[in-house]
Amino acid sequence: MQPKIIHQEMIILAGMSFFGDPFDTSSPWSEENQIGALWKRLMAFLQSHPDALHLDLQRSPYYEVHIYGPETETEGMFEVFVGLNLPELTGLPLEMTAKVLPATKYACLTLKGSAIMGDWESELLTWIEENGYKEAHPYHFQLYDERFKGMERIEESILNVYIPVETKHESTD
Amino acid sequence: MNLQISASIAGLDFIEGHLCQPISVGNIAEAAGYSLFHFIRTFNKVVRHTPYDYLMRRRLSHAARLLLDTDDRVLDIALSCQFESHEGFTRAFGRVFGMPPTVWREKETPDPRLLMLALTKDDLLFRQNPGYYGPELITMNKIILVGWMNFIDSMDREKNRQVFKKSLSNNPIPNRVDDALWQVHDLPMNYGQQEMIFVGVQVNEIPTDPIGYVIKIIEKGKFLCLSDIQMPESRDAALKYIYHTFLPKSGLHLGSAFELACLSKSNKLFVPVVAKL
Repeated sequence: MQPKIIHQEMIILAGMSFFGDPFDTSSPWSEENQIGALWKRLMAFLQSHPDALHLDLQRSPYYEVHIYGPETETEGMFEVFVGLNLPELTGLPLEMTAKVLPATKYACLTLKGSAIMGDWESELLTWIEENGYKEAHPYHFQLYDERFKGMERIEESILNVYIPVETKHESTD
Repeated sequence: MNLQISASIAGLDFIEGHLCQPISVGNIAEAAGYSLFHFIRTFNKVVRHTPYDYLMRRRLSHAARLLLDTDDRVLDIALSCQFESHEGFTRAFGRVFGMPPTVWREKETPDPRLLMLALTKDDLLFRQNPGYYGPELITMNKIILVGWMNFIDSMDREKNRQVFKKSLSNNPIPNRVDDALWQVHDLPMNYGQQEMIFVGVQVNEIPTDPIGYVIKIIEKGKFLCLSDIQMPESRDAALKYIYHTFLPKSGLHLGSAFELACLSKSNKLFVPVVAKL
């Protein structure tokens, strides 16, 4: 595992969100969870409104952001936001919401094949701690682009994951 | 045993060891050696509860036990089980037990099916079989059983069945429907290690000369039915799954206080239920 540190300008996202424990489904015997349901909701909307965001939906990368709050540590609940990058925050359809990720440094890791299903968050957080960094904001995101072929073709897929970081001395200055 | 089950067991063990301490889902994930996100995904898949839901249900069952076994004040029990107030505890207790803690405490024979015991490795292995995720809701017509009612040690269920089978060959029961053996487990009387068990066979009509046997009638009603259960190995795991994992999300309540099993080529377990009003 060799993460990279990159700087990223502010990211404006348009999409849909869910708050809670995404695995607390109403049907415990179903493999479906709320993250899958959220993606389905977003894709169904974009399919029926292909011009809603004035983006090339085939080429635009998709973001899945997990935003942690006080209830995350205690109860396992957090916000999941899925959406696409907009150049500016205008013309947002009523059915969608926006999320603005601040300009910041990120520890970025490229995952291949079955590693996508593994506990990459734990590995990346350990790397961050051991390399003089700490988490800068309480969220992380996954970037799905043309290299991700779907869960049924996970062995051929590639996914980039990002955790916002700052150097340890930045936070003590 | 795969890594997901090992991690979930580590989480269950941590919860049991810290039931009355102010632990968080983050602490449980850490004890299991996983990141929080990966842990709650794994735990839900294996245990079929979210970690927080499981923690709260175990705390409430522990509190329910303390209500029966001690004279401690309700508020003290609530606080010791990490509830912040009497009101919060009473609300949560009512959701799971269907009554306030004070009413539960006053019951002479509280229903033991409501108490959620800690899940074990056997429970988790049972829950990995997709065939068991959804018990079938059926309406069963009245059935007439003829057999024995015994007060036995719970360890002697199998022996009891074998002795009954032997008796059948010496003293056959007429009008049998089929070869299946039925077992009725009466609840909720608290006999400790002892239990009331009926073992018998189904008949078309009540025999006129049932000397040596008793008659048990199961009236028409709704049941949750799980098929192809390994008996007796998976019986307890199946019941725990129905009582504490499936039922709370099903729109159904527990019905009369007994469990019914049909032992044949395909063992079936029946739990009486009623629809929530």
